[in-house]
Amino acid sequence: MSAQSLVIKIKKNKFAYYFIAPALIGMVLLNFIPFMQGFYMSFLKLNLHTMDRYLSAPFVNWGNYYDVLFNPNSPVRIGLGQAVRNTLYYSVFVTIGQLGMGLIVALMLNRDFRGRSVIRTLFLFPWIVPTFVTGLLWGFMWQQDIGIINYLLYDIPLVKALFFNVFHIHDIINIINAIITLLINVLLFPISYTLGLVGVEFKYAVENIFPLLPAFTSEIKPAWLTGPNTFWAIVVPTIWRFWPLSMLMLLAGLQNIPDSLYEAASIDGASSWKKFWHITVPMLKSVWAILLMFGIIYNVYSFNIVIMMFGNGAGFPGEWGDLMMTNIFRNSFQQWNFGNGAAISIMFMAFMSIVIYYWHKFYISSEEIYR
Amino acid sequence: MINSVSLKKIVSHYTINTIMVIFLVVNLFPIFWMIYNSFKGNTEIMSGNVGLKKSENTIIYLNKINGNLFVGSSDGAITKINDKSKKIDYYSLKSLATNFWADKDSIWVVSSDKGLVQLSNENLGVIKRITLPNKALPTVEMLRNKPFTKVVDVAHIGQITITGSDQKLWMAAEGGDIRTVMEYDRDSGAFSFIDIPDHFKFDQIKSLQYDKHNNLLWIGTDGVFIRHDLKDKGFTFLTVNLDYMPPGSQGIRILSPKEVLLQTATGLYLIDSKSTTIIKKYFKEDDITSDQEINSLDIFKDNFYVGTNSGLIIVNKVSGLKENKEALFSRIINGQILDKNEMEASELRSTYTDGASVIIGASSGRVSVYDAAVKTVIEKVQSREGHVLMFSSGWRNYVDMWPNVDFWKYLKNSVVICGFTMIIAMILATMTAYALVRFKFPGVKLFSNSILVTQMIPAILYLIPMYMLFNIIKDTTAGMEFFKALFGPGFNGIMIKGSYLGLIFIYSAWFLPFSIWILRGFFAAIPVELEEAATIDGCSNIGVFLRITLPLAIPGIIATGIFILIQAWDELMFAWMLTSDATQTLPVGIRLFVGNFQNRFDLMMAAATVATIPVLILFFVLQKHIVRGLTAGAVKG
Repeated sequence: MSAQSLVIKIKKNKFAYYFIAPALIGMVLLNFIPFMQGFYMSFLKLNLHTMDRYLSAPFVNWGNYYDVLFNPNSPVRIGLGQAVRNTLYYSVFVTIGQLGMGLIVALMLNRDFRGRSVIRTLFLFPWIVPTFVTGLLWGFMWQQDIGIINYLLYDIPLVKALFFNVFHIHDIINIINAIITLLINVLLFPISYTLGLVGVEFKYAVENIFPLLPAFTSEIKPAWLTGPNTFWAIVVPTIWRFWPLSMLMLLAGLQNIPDSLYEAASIDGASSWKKFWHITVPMLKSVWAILLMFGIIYNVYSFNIVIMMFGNGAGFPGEWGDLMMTNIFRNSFQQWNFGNGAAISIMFMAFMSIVIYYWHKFYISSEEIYR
Repeated sequence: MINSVSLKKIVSHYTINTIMVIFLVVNLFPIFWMIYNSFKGNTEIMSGNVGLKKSENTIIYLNKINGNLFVGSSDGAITKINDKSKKIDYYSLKSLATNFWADKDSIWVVSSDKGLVQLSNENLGVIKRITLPNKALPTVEMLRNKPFTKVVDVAHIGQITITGSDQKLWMAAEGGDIRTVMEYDRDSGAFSFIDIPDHFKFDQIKSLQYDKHNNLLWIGTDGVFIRHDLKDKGFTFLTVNLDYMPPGSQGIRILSPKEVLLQTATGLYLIDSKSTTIIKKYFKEDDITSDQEINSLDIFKDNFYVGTNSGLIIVNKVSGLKENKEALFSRIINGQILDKNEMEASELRSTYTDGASVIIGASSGRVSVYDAAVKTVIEKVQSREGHVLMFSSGWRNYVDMWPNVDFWKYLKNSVVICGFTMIIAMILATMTAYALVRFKFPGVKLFSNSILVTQMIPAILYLIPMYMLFNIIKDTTAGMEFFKALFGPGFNGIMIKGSYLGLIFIYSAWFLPFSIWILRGFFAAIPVELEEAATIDGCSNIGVFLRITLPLAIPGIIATGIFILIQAWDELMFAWMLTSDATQTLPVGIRLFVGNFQNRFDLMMAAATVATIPVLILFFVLQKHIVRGLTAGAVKG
């Protein structure tokens, strides 16, 4: 494009530039510049003592990054590995949960029946509850002695009998846990063996790698807000609060699939299952893609629910409840390690950008197949 | 063939519907649970009691009139039992902390939450209902004056004690600051007040008794024992060890024109009516151990039938000796009645005797008749369960919440900040989205991609620089002469941190990208042809936008605006760090609230409900738009 035609184009679109000007200016001032500052700050040694000097604080080059990644004595590293691990599992579980439940209910709502819009609106309620209320509410529900969840499982004789004596769910859970333990042992065995050969001791415990399902014993109520169960304690409310959104979008997507496709398949003798896999799922791919992307981003940066659920302690959610955002927040604003906090954020963001970049490529490619 | 297929369809239809409804109930259960718990008291919640609480029905009043036994319980229920042990009448005021008084043809029931009711002896029908004057009742204001940490347990309402003569009734409420006795004239229905002078030091009025021989009103408090002469309005007082006078018991008995018997938890005092001095004390200090605290008392001839924590003891008025050195009942372990002669002695709350038998009222509505001659319980009566308490004491949580936490401030701040954010972001997003969709100008792709990219940036990466920037601004402007001159002395630097504007701008910028993204879909759905037609007709760009596109896009704009509002309402991290005391929003307020009330789950649930309501209302009103907005995003992608 030559310079001249460029100028012409700019002149022709003056209106558009006027229209985007306020937003553009706003975003530059309040998004772009702070972001650059944040980026620059990750190279400065900014903490409680030097924060007055703002951008003139000592420049430490890659010091913060080194501290976070390689320095075993740095205070920022406490709990960081766990936060990373938790965030990873958390986002996976939550996104699958949201999409799964959304899909199931959307399929159920896809039929025509009386009162459908009322029920659909009712299903949306969890999304209306603010996230900080969700954290508070579920923090109360998960209480070990007085929470309703333990009450429902343990204090209603019928439910307790069903749970323990009839369905033996606690035994099933133990079996599942055993299988998971075995799998992890098997998968990690080559690594530990190879490292062993080289002389490096690779110590791991399954309890540190994967949050096993809560162990139920018929006498003692499980503690949900301490110990490894905190992971499930934060996963469930997040799924509860966000799945209506997925449901709504999937429902809209389902309703856009023309019935003629299903009819044609029926004529060809396809079973329901085949219809589902070969018509429904592919046609929903665009919705999936968006939900997946926004879901992962949103869940990875999740903060409110966790911080409100564990407010009673020093705000520390425990080994299995800590997420990246709460970790960075704690480091920056409660321990005043701004420089390190910024460094972690930048690295985290870079990682997410790479993930999203590849997802975007996949999405574009799938779009081109089906459009 | 066709029949079985459609039958299968119908069956599966209904099964799926059932599953769906079950799902819905489970899904909405937490919300219901939050609201339900906001109506309960904290003691029930902390004791793990999930169900609805019923009020206590301790039997606090027993009286035999004309051969019929009247049983009154603390939840305002009174039952009439005839001499054949059949319950023949029943009435319940459904109140808390009730008290009773009987005269020759009526029974008066009083409580501070339901007022005063006069019932007839005959059939327990209501003769009259009287509202008590607010001036002498415990009020919500009393709760407000308490310091921050001493929030009163909402289930506790002070007793009102009652006594009367043929012409008047006297009542006093047991409250922290109440020093007034209400005097009710039965003929005129008018109230007057007897104020107890300030130099008598006590905390609560516990009992009243009218002395008809001497026209005196005896007032029992937890500090002094007061003799009030109704004729000359004079007060005399006596100090005894009035450490604990249990509610519901008649602490003062008129034995004769010259003697008054005062019942306290640790002793009985015989007091001279004229001089207000102690004639005799029953039970020396070391006589009473903690399991022998006095709970109830009745008098027959010269014997006092004293109910204590370990049983019933008979004390002779003259000799002061206990007739039985041991209690008439054995003790019971854990309230289990081992055989029909034994009873949980520590729950004796009322006693009535006519010499031959002793009728005992205990907690949980139990009444027993004990025959002193054969020394066994010959009969037991069970009163009805207390009424369900859920809403009668439930709203207290919502009232208790506000004085301790400045909710109005948080609400106001949230409304202001989120409202302005919504408006600003809506306007900017509309303009930007329109421009991005309709115009292929140089840089359009860069701009829209960068909008998408901003979604990747975690909030904290903005927060750290902003936070420090605000601090720097405050510190530097604090030292600048220009501003000092402008704002005068006491100027501490421009506090953007605590201002509305700072947070509004930041929120607008934070929520803008997503709004633009959604609105793009809406604008894309509007056919270009309409605009092109208008342009051909000579309409300017801005004209097209305002007159053609905008009206069509209104649903989408509203939906986006609501979306922004819901998300801004929710936002915690920025609000926590970038607001000062005066501008804190609701999420921060609740966070601080939780920090202060760590175990007051009832208040926390009430606060949570209040925080949800505005968004809930908004959703209800505008649900169509919201749903349409969300689904449009899915379709357009």
